Amino acid sequence: MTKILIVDDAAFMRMKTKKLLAAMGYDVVEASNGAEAVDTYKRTKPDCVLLDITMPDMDGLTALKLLLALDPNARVTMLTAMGQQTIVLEALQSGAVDFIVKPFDSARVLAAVEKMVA
Amino acid sequence: MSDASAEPLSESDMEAWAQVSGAGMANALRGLSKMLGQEIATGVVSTRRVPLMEATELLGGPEAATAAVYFALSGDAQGHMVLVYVPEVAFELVDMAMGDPPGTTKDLGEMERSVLGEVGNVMGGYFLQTLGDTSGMSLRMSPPAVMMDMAGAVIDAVIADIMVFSDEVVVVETEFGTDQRRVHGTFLVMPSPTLIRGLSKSRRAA
Repeated sequence: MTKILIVDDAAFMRMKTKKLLAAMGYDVVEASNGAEAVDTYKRTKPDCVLLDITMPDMDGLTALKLLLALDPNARVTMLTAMGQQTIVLEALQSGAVDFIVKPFDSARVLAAVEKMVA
Repeated sequence: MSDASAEPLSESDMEAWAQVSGAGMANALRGLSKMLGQEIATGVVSTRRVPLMEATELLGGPEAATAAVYFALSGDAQGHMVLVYVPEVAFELVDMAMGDPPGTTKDLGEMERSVLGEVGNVMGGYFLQTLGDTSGMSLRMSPPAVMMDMAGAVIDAVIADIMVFSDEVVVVETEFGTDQRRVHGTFLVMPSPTLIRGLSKSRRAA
């Protein structure tokens, strides 16, 4: 079963995203900040990651760099309300596969996941 | 806030701030409408300078009960954003975001606080998108701090930070809501002089 790591400090967003992905048959693991994401990635080896940017302890852009250092083949899509051009560019240049601005459209998230695991 | 400046803001700086922050507020409400799946209207967007000693009046007076979501701005310039609701309205907003009938939420537990935080994330993120894309500055916001407290307690930390360089605060505020369900709130943004000057400079260069 395809495993997806959702990283968001907001319990509401993790619940909403997990509900969407679980209904489509995906196995979902969760983390609530960047440091926890790196640890969970090591332990569970997910097929792809949905990663928020604004989080306590370690933000998503820092976590993205650490995940790619840990696994250069990591497939990560940023899922964030921070849609400024400078931030989108930084994320894509840092190695994110895709960038989705919240509040998200379900079809857009599913398309991003399918693209990452294809 | 570390970008203190002794230079007073000019009228053209304030005009630039009023224009860009008005567009930012409209974008923030677009984000909220999308999140809640219904049109959220904004009232008049007001930009003004307020003496620090009167800042708690922006939230209804120091003893007003509030549910507030606070963000610190960082990056190329600094500032503060606060979304303020009376508690009953915050509960209503949670019900709307969760798709629950009115009256379901009666307190703010972890899940309810994360809903309010996410509403703030979306509004703040969309507001900053307008400011950042207009000025070319990279602007970040902290994770949301959701508080249920008296207005004085909510805003005291912000005032202490601003007092370092000024005895007044520049604010942009608006009320928003819908006629169908009661979700009126107040969105306050308190930018540093560097942020206002950065926007003013980018508008002159455009």
